[in-house]
Order: sequence, then C-alpha cells, then structure tokens
Amino acid sequence: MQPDIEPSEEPREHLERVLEFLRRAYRFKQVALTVLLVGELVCVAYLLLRTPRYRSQTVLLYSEGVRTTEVSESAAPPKSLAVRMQEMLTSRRQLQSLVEEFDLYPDERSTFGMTGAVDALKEHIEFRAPGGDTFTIAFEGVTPEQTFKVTERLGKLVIDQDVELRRKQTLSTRDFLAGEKQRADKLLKAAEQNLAGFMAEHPRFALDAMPLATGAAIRASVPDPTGADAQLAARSASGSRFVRVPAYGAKATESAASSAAKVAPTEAQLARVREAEAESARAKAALAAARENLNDKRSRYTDAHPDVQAAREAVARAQARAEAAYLKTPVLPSGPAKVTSTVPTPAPARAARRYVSVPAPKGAPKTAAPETTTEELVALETDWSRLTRAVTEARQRHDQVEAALFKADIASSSATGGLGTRVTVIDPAFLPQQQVPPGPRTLAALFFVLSIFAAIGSALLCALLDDRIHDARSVEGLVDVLVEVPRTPKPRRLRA
Amino acid sequence: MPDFNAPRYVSPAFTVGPDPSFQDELPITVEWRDASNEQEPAEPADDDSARRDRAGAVWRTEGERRAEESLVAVARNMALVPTHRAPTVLLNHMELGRPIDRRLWLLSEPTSPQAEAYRLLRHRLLVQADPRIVVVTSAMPGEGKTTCAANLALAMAEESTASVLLFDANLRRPAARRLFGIPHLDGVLDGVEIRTYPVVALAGLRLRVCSALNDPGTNVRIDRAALRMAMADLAYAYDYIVVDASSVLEGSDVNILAEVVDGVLIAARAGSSHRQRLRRALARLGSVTILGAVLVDS
Repeated sequence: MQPDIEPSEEPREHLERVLEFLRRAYRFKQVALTVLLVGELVCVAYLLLRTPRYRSQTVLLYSEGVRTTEVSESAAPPKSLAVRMQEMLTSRRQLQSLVEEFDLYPDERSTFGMTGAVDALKEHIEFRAPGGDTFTIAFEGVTPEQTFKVTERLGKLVIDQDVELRRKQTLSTRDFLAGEKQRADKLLKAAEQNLAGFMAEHPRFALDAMPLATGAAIRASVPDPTGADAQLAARSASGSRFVRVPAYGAKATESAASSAAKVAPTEAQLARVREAEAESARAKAALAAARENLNDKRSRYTDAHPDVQAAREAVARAQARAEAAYLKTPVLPSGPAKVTSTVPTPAPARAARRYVSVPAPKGAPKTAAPETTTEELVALETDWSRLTRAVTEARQRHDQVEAALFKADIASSSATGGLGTRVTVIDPAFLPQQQVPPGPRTLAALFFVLSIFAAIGSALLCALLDDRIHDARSVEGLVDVLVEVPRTPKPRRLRA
Repeated sequence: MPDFNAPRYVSPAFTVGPDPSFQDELPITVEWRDASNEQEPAEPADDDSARRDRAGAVWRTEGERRAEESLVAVARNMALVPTHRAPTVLLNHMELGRPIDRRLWLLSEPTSPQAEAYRLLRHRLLVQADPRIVVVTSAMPGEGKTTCAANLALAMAEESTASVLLFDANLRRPAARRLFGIPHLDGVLDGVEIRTYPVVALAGLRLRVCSALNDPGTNVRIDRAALRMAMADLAYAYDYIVVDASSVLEGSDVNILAEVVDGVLIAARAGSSHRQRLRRALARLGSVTILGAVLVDS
C-alpha cells in the first residue's frame, strides 16, 4: 500500500524550486551589478551630454472689433483661421529673421546653412489652437532668456503680420469697390439714358409709373378710342387725362404740349391738379427716402433685423401713398396744359419719376395707335421691358456696390483705427524657471529604477538560461547520481 | 598489516629504499631494467650490499613481478614516441609530503563530509556492481575526475584486504602524479636520457599510483590489444583498479578504456559542468556500462 503523499509536499517542493532558482539567480549577482553599473553610467553620460531644454509659451486671442459682416455671412471658420495663423507663424522668411536676430542654432547654420537652422527652429515651435479664437505659441530653447525672448518675438510677429495683412486686405477691397462703383455709375447712367431716349420717342411709356409688364398688358388690352395713346385712353376711361412729360425734370416736348386736351382747364382744376401734383411729389419723395433708408438699414443689418423690417414697411406705405396720390390726381377736361410744375425736384431723384396728369394735347402724334400692328406693339413692349429691366439691374448693381463700398469703408476705417478684427496677447511669454520635464533628478531616478529592473532581469535570465548542473535534480533522466560530494569549505591549516 | 595511522615522515617525497609498509617482508629495491638488452635480472646477492646493488632485483611476489611486467608492456605500447631506449618501469615507494593536497580528503581530513561521501561511493559501487576496474571520466576537463578517482582509490584502499592501483591513463592532462606529489622522475642514468613510468607505492597505504606518462606529448594513443592484455594482468595483481581517464569529449581514449573495464563513472562538478555536454558525453559513450555519476562540489 503506497503511502499517501502529503499534500504540503508539492507546494513545498515548488517553493524549494523557486528558492533554488532564486539562489541560482543570486549566483549571477556580478552580472546584475555590472548591468546596474552600466545603467548608471549610461544615465550619467546621458545627463552630462543632454542639452537642457526650456519652454515658454504665449496665448493670443483673435477678436472682432467693429463688425462689418452680417450674422448670416459666416466669418472665417476657426479651422482656416488656425491654419492661416500657423502659416504666418512658420513662414520661412519670418523665421529666418528670428534666427539671425537671436543667433539660433549656430551648428545647423554652419553645417546646413540657413535652411537647416530654420528647419531646426520649426521643430521647436509648437502652435496649438485649442479653441476657435485662442492660439497658443510655445517654443523650446536651450537657455531661459533665449526661450523667453524668442517666444515673445513669435507672438509679436504673428500680431504684426495679421495687422498688416488686414490693412492690405481692406485697402485693396475698398479700392476695388470704388472702381466697381464707378463702373456701376456709368452703366446706370447709360441704361437710364437709353430708357429716357425710348420714352422720348414713345412718350406714352413715360406714364407708366411702375414699368412692369402690368402697364404693357393694360396698354395692349385697352385700345385707344380716340386714336391717341392707349394708356391715355385707359386713363380717359378712368376719368383722368394725362399728358406725357419726360422724366427726370426734362422739359416737356412740343409734342407733349401739343397733345394737350382741347378744353382749357379752370383755375380751380389747375389748383387741384397742382395740389395733387404736390402730394404726388411728396409721396414720391417719401418713397425715395424710404427706399434709401431701407438700403442703409440693409447695409448694416440683416433682413431679420427690426429696423430693416420697419424700413420695408415704410417703403410699402410710401409706395401705397404714391400710388394713391397718383390715382387721386384729377384729369383736367381740356385746354392746353402747362407743364408742371412748381413742385421742386425731389432729391435724390434717381429713383423718382414724375408723372403729371394733364390733358392730352392737340395734334399729339399717335403712338401705339390701336391700329398699330401686333408685331410693332410687341416689339415696343419688348424694348420697353428690356430698357426698364436694364435700368433696374443697373440700379440694383449700383446699390449693391455702394453698400459693399460702404462696408469696405467702415472696415478700412476700423482697421486703421485699431477697432477692427485684431489679435491680442492675453497671456504673455514668461521666463522659464526649470527645464522641460523630466528634469535631471527625475531622469536619474528613472534610470536607477530601470537599471535595477534590468539587473534583476538579467540575473533571472542568466539563471533561466544557465545550463550548468547544480544538483542531482539537474541530471535527472540522464544518469543516476551515486553521491554528491559537498562543496569544499574554506581552506584551514592542517594539523602538523 | 600496514598501519594507515602511522605518522607521516616530514621528508622529501621521494626516497629509495625499503617500503616501510611492508616491514615483515623483503624490501623492495629499485629495479633498473634495460629492455633493449634483454638482460635477465641478475640473481640477488646474499649479502646486503648485493641487495643494494642497483643492477640486482628482488621480486617480492610473483604477482607483483607480473604486474610490473604488464605495466612495462602497457607503458611501452602507450608511448609511441620514438626513443632509442625502451621504456622502463620504476617501482618506488614514497611518503606523502607535507602538506597533503586537500583534495585527498581521505588523507587530509578523513572525517570530513567529503571523505564520507567517497566512502559512500565506494559502498554503493561495491553493493551495486562490485566493479574491479573502474574508469573515472567526465564530459569536459576540469570537472573533478582525477580528484574523484584518487579519493575513490583511497576509499577502496582503506579496505584491510584490498590492494588498489590508481592508474593515470589521461594522456592529455595527467594529474594524478601531481595530486599525490609524486615528483617527476625522468632523468639521466649513466649518461643516457631515460623515460620512466613510475609506479609509486604510498607509504602507509595499500594504494599504488601509476602514471602513464611524465610528459604528455602529441601523437600519443592507447593501443587496444596491449591495453587489454595489460589490464588482464593488472587485474590479476590488484584487487581494484581505478583508472583516471581523459574527458569523453576530448577524444576516444575513454571509449577504448571502457572496453576493458567493468564500468564507467562520470564525474561532474556542480556549478561548472553543463547538462548539454554531459548529454553529449553519454551519447558518445554509447552502450558502455555507466555505473553512475559523482557530483563534486555540490
């Protein structure tokens, strides 16, 4: 019957084996000490040869002063702004000036020239844009003073570049828009002149207060019963009679005067006409002023702004008033008509047209007579639409360019006065007091710990790889050990 | 019976004269034999002066005579170095000089654990197989085979009725002679340089030490046939023969010796011998009888 194996023998055996292994590893203590010593020597050499590093940084803030852009228009996205700032910071020309100013990286300069020194400087500059508007510039140098000065200089460099860039941008924009405005003025003038010439040839079109297709539809649909102008006939149907008057204060043509009604108006009628004309003029002036106010508001605010909304409403009211005044203007029964009027020309008169209700003169040339062919009518209406559209477009372009020029002027003024978008230092560069971590002590401690681990590891590895025979267990399976002769003790003097 | 506890002489290691361990027997004199002349040994003289004549020889026993002749044959065949003189064998007796080499535990510290370990080895060998001729070898040099062989021979010589021969057959690094302090006995006799193969009888012990060569040289090899005959004769003369051989991985001497012995004992030194080399040595020995291993400095 086999004796039971004590359960504690196996763990004990394991423990003994482990202890034996550790004893064997201890035999390699010289190896471990050597590794430790080598590690410490490497540490000392590294600390002696290591170039000290100091770090300083500054934080810049990008802020917009006087806003020249609408909310709907997106400002420069943060990402592109950060990229632009970084490009300004790391431009080779600027860095080269820094290298020369502070005599940085002399070794690289002597070996690789200025290009190598600039590349070395780039490697030690760190640019971060943690937020949308803040930028951090950091620099690592070999001495605290140099690090501080270079960092400060880098911040100033970015600010100066940004100011210069914006100034140039605003000036060039303003100059460009000024040129565009001049062109727009010329285009507008030409379009208006063309329109005026057309209306001079075809006076009945001058009566069209709203030169839209609606007037052409009326004229085309309502034939002139008297053979006179269709619109005059329409007005006659509504009880008013008009005489064509050239727009923009031009003198009434002979034809217009000659086309006055046959019946001479009374003084009361003339007074009423004058009063209506005055009211119409005032309404038109008000309309023009309201439109100008609307353009001004739109140049400053978005369409959703209350001021813009109010201006639009004012324009609508002025339009209604002008239309009402126009419709209320009485038509004189007959008589030669005098060209209006005593109402002063409203200023600015760009957008205003004056239509005066006077009797149709005698012998006025028949324009757009009902018996005019359809093709001729269509051609005339087409020309009228084209010319009015050209004037409208030219005016719109002129207004837009003027609004943009206004913004450019504001931007230029604000940039010149330092009130526009600018970059400021919110955290200036500082003089570093200690090296970039890890410091010498930390490194020494780290090396020591690593050396300890390496030493222990090397001893354990040597013990693991040790193929030598240490006891009878080492030759198990190879040969039977008959006897183990103990180790020779320390020599002692033999007795004589 | 020899007194192993007799005080050792503080004297030169080498003396010529009667073996004090055999007081009751005829003294052994140095024989000087020149094999090339094929001279028969002269008849011993009756008076003392004749006994001291170096030309005379008196054999103690027939067995020893045959043993010495075998040693001559072995030595002659083991040394193929050309010489105009045939090798001879000198039988000497000596007292071990002071201090005794500490590695001879059974002489320097007979009660030490190391000495007991070798006695235990002797006991286990005798119980296990009782080999009469044992070769002690190792995988590589310097692993304690000479020490092991010497101490094993001393342990066997402690038996009251045993006569033991320690045969140093390490042709590359013979160390048994130096271990016992046996001097170099090559010399000049009558103007002729002679190579000698001393067999030394140690005073107070039933142990004799024989070195194969004094000067290990190149082109030395063991002759299998001569060795076989010599070992047969030696086995007749001695109860136990412990052969100190060269290491297994150094050459094939051990394989030749293993053919004429009863078993091979492997010596290994703790902390020095490598398991991989031991494995290769065992593989090289092949099917020889491995009696076991002795772990030295454990």
